[in-house]
Order: sequence, then C-alpha cells, then structure tokens
Amino acid sequence: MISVENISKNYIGFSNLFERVCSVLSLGLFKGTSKYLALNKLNFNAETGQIIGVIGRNGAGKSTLLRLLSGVSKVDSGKISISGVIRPMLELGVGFNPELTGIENVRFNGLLWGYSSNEIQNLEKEIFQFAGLAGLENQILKNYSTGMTMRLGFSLATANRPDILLIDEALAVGDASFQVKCLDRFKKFIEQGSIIIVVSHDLQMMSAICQKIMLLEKGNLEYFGNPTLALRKYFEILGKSEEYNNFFENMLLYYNVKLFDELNNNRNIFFLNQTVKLEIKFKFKTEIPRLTVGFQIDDNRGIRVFGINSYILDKELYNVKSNWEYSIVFSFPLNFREGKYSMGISFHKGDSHIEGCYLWKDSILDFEIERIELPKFDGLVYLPTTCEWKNQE
Amino acid sequence: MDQLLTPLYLDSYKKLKNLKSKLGILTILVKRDYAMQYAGAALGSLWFLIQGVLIFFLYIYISDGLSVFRGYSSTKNVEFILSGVLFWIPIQEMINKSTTVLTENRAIIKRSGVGMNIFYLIPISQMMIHFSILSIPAIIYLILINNISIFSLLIFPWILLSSLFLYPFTRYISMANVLLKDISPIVRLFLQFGFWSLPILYHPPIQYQSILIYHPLLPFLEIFRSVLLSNYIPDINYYILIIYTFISICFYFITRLSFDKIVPDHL
Repeated sequence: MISVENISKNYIGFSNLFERVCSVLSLGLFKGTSKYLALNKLNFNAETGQIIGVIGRNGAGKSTLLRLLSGVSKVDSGKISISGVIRPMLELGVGFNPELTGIENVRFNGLLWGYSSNEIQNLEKEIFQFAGLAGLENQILKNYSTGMTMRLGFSLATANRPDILLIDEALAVGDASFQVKCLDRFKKFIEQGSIIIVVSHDLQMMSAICQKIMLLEKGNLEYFGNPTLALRKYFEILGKSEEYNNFFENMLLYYNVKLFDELNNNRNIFFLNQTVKLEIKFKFKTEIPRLTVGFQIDDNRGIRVFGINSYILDKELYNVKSNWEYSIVFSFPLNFREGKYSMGISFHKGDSHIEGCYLWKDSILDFEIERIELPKFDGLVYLPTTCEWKNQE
Repeated sequence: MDQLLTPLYLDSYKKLKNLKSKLGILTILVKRDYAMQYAGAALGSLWFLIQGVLIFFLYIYISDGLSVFRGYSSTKNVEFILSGVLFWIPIQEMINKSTTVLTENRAIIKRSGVGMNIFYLIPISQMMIHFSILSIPAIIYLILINNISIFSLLIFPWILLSSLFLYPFTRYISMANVLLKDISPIVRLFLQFGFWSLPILYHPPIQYQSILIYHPLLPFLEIFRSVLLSNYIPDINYYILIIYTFISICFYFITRLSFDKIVPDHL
C-alpha cells in the first residue's frame, strides 16, 4: 500500500556560479536562492492490485513524484508511507555498460534492482528468453540494438514481481508483440497484488490499462480518479495552455451542438454503421479572420477513437463576422464498436488548437451506438467485410 | 518477556539481513567498477595489479637511490619509503576515486533507488583491495630483511581506521564535485601537496618537524610505520590526533545535515 500525505517538494538551485561556490564552501549551509515548487501538498492512496497512471504536461511534477516514491529524492514536507518491495523503473537499461556482455550486465545490475545473487542466477535464462535474446548472452552490449538493450532492461527490471513498480515512460518497449508481453506481465503482477504507478504521455494506453489516473499540473493535483474524466480534464488544460496559445474563449457568444440521423431526427442513440450529421451552430462576439471547427469522439475509457476538423477537410472559414450565426454540418458513418461515446468540439485557428484556440470542450455531448443486423466483430471499429470461398481441384 | 524479546530479535535479524543485502550491493558495485574500468582490455583487471605494483616499486627504487646519494643507509631507507608508499598510494587512490564516484554513477543513483550512501563506500572498498595486494610484496620483503613487527597485521585495521578518519572529507568532495567541477583538479593538487608534505619519500629536516606535527595524516602514517616495522618509534602528538578526529566527526555531521539534502537534487 502507498499512502502519500501532503507532500511538497521544492527544488532549490543556484542562480549563478558564485552561489555554487558559496554552497560548497559553506558545506551546504547556503542552499541557493533559485526555488522551484515541483510538488505542492499532494495527497493520495494506492491499494494493492491497481495500476495508477500519472499524466500532466512537462514540468507538472510527474517524474518528481516517482523520484520521491522511489527514495531517490527526499520530500521537503509531508509523509510517504510505503509497505512492500519497491522497484523503480525510471529508465530502462540504466547502469548497463556497452563494453560488458549481456550476461555481465544482468549480473552486475540485478542487485541494483533488488534481486539477490541467487535470484539473478536462477532468473538469468528466463530474463534473456523473455527479452527474445536467448543465445546472445555473451555478446557485448554495444553489439545489441537500442531495442534489444531496452528489452533486456525491461526483462531484468520485471523478472520477478515487486510489491510496487514505478514506471517512467517505459510502459511498453520494443515491437508490438513485445509490448503485448510487457502488458501481460503487468497484468499478472496486478492480479498477484502489486501496485503499478505509471508516468506516460501515451494517453490511449494509460486510459486502457489504468484503474485510476492522477492529473498533475504545475505541481498540484488537479484530479485523481476515473481515467476518462482525468483525460478530459487534461485535454482542457492542454487547450487552455499558455504554452500553446492565448485562449480566446470569451470571444465566443454561444455555441450549440446536435447530432441527427439520416432523417434529421435529433437523437443520442444510433445504430452501428449509421450515417449521422453533427451540426454545430455558433456566434462570435468579434470578427475572426480564420476559423477551424473540429470535433473529437472518445469512448467510455477516454480513448480517442476519432477526431477531425474543417481545416483538414479543406473547409476553413475566413472573415467570420461578429454576431452572425454560423453553422457547420459534418456527416460521417458511426463505424465504431457498440458502446457509449462522448463528443467534444473545438474552435481554433489553422490546423490545430496550438495555433490559437477559441474553445476546447470535451464531452459536451454523449451518445450510444447499438449493433443491429450486423455481424459480431472484434476491435474498436467496424469495417464492412465480405468473404467468399474458392475451391480448386 | 517472550513478547518483548521476539520483536527485538526480529528487528535485529531484519537489520542483519539488510546489512547483508547492502554488502552484496556494495560488492557488486565494486566489481562493476573494475569491470567497467578494464572492459575490453586483454589483461583485464590484472592491469590494476601490474600498475599498482610497478608504481609502488618505482617510487621505492628512485627515492632509495636519491636517499643513498644523500647519505642514508639503503636498507633502513627502503623500509622507511616502502612503509610510506604502502600507506600513501591506496589512500591517494581512495581520495581520487571519491571525487568522481557520484558523478560517474549519477544515472544509477538518479534512476535505480539504490541511494547515494553506498557509493561513498566504493573508494574505501577499492582502497582496501589495493592495499591488501600491495602489502603482500611489502610484507614479504620485510620478512626477508627481518624487520617486520609482530603486530604487522594490524596495518589492515589501521589503514581502514585511517580511511574512516578521511571518510567525512572524501564524502564531502564526492558531493562537492557534483556542484562544482573544479573540485577534481583542486583535489589532485592537494594530493600532490599531501604527498610531498608528508615524510613518505624523505626524512624531514629538523626545522620542518615542528610544522609537520600539525599535518592531519602524520599521526596515521607514523602509527602505520610503527605497527609495520619492528623498531620504528613514532613521533606523534596525540592531542593533535584527538583534535583532528573530533573535527572529522563534526565535519561528518554538518555535511550530513546540510549537504546531503541539496546534492541529490543537483545530480
């Protein structure tokens, strides 16, 4: 179990060389004047059998949190209580030396991951097998490709089950088949009672595997809980990000979003493969030189299944007048797996909201898709498929 | 009573197990360090032995020649230089290694959760290994010329004690080098000063002895010589030894309180 109570972390740095010298000469009594609050009064609990995702923009405090949990850094205030063996996987292949052989690297680095010498001896064969490197144990590491080194690092780090596994951007490595093996290993750990805390920018994977997601923004905990809601809030933050744009939301007077079927009935339940029309009406307070309107559809796990905008469709609108009502209609077939979906819209300049955003709203309209008279299928999307047999003597 | 004893027993057992695991990690870190230093070399770790022994005898040969030229007895002089070099070379290597031990291993420290403290022990462990290897030919030579003390094996705990006396300073320079890259060249300069200011290769002139007595490493060198050689009388001011030991302990606690908190964030 992990219990984090009110932890804060300030990074104190030096603004010039003189401060560094002073710190060294004063035996660290002078700590520098430049301060950066990386985490601010963070609280959360994690129970066994959970994968917890940590998302947020660069500098949000994600890696700091993992460093504090792993004991690499110390908290300035607050308390972290952890029960069980903790294994930080903050960088794959860390400590590997390219001049040593694969097996030497495994032996030398195994203890750093918390294995005993006996454990490493017993696991050696399995580590290389899992990494798909059986037979290459005695090759010098510099002859391995980057992918092979990463796979070996992953295999070593996860060769046996830790109580708590901390992963920083190393959720799944290698090719698709190896990624499946990685995820299967994580699932097995979770079933056996581990806690996995993952930091990643791969939002689709995060929402697919995490039971809870923690959203950090500038060191503050913005949200902790349902993955779908966490991702929505994250997209809102991204949309409003000062890094990307100035957010001009107050320029919009109003907007209205409706979904219609082929017969122009406004509904929120549709059939799989049915063509729908999305109508977005809006009015601006001020004149806009260029306008792109887009929409995005997320499934119930928060995975983005589709998104497009008028710019991509070559329908950018120029010279939008103030107080004029405009509407745009998108038509598309709902070729997604049956289930619940939510739709969001965006008003921005150019190709994406990065160029300047007037509005970004996720989940402003929910709808459902049902499958009738269509064959059962696997996956996220439905592709109308036919098949025929051919015989030859 | 049982209820009281059981948790204590378990606690001690847990601590012992933890210590065993830490020693295991230290062993592997030391081995790894050697493996990395000599990876790809045909003679591998043998180089460390060859280098050490050659430098050791080179010092003795040249210094002995020079001293005989100045009128000292050759045998007495070789014993003097041999014991001085045997003391100094491992200590010098330990201080040098300490300078870079954190910066060389920063990736592991930052990413693996092993912690910084264990890395400070790598230079001490390597120093003990180097010392053990160098002491073999030295002891054999002293046995051959029949000038070895019956307490000569105490040089091993004594050199360890000397390294523990230096530990707060080696720990400090490891951390200081993270913040300021100037520490490495400064330490090399100080080591040269330390080497030539100690009576390792030469017998100090009388007018210099009143200053030399304040050298922090002199008591350690003098006791080392008296433990190793059969008829060597050390010239030590024990008050100075106590004062320096006290300073060393204070230094350790001050750096633990302050430096330990800021350095990890700068790695």
